[in-house]
Amino acid sequence: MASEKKVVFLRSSDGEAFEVSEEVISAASVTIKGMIDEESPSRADTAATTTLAIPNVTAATLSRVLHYVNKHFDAAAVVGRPDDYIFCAPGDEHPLARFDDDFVDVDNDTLIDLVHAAEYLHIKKLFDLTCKAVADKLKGRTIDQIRETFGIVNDYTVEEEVEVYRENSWAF
Amino acid sequence: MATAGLVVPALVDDSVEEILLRFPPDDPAALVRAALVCKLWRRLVSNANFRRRFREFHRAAPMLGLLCSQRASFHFESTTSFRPPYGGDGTGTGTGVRTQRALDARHGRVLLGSTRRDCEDLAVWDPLRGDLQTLPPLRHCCCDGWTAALVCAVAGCDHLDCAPRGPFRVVFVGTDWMSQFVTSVWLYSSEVGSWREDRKVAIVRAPNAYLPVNIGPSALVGNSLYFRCATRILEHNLGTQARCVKEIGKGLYLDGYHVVPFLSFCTPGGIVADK
Repeated sequence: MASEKKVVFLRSSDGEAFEVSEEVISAASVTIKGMIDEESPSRADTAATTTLAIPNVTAATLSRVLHYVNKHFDAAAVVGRPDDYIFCAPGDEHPLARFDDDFVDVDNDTLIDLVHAAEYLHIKKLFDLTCKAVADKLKGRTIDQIRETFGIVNDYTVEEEVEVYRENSWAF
Repeated sequence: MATAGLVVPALVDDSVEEILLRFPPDDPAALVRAALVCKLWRRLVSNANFRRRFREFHRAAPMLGLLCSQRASFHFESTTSFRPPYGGDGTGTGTGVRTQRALDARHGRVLLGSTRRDCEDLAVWDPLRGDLQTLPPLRHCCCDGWTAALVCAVAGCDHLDCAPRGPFRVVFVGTDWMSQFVTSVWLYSSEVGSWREDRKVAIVRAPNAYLPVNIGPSALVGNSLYFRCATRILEHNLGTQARCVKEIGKGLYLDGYHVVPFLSFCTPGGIVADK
């Protein structure tokens, strides 16, 4: 490993650039690690820093994602296993459990943006965390509330809806 | 971003599936309600691949309830939001009350039978779909004490999606005092669709015992089924079909004596532990 800390810049869909340690983001995001690996032969002999375009993620979301990644990487480094990218399930007695809980305690739009960003950037632990948070939000809601929350149009006809209700009456 | 709650980022299909995967396994009603959100969600949750992934994701199958057997009936005691949609008696009442006992349950299927000596009314019930498959009668079989076990017949199965269509086997063990208390083992294979009698096993009776041989419920440990026959344990190996009889508690010859083997025998009727 080189002694100086390499950094990369990530440019969001709305043009804002964020600096992040190459080591950190490579450990966290499969997608970005792939981008860096593709870039590396061309930049081996240049000192220029790399800027990667992240066209699917806005600045607001990207900054949140990087906050999560840095926090988790730091925690892993404290434990002395920087490669072991720590994830803790919500509710665990892990120091980051509280952080994770707070991290996903956001409005629906922000949470869905995070799901998509985690999926696109291929950050598995963040994807798990945000999908679970959405599932938790959904489970106590009525069908109409779920549709409203996620802007889903009901495409059942009345007859179809009655049929599904009838077949599964035990669940209502 | 959203001004009046209308401009909400759409959930793309892959994300929806991942979110639905994380629904709590002990609340199946929540998934059914999700199916009513829109047709896409219904397609997702009713897809066989999703169901398999759901079970893989949650590893251990959740316990949905208990089948409580009485002398000649049973009822489903739900421990989750799940209710059997059909009673299994064709009436669709959902009460689960039948005039048969639940003998065994494994991987989402239940083996039913009455206490009659002719053992002619064994059936396999799928509580989720309400299907009832009556097994052919066991001809020339009349037992004072008997029981039966239901096992999956798929080699190397992980039991994530073997029911309801995968092949199964029923192992029947019965003893008749008329024939000197010889215990018979009969095997039913759903692939063949018929019973075949296996070798008879002599379970020697104590000279002073007069009650029918009491055969307790079975336990499946590894690849072997264990049946308690009076004071002995009958082991039936599912892979090799080999069996052996082990003496337990020498001197305990009365059926009234309560012998509890050091095995986790399930409660009468067993547990439906699959979705």
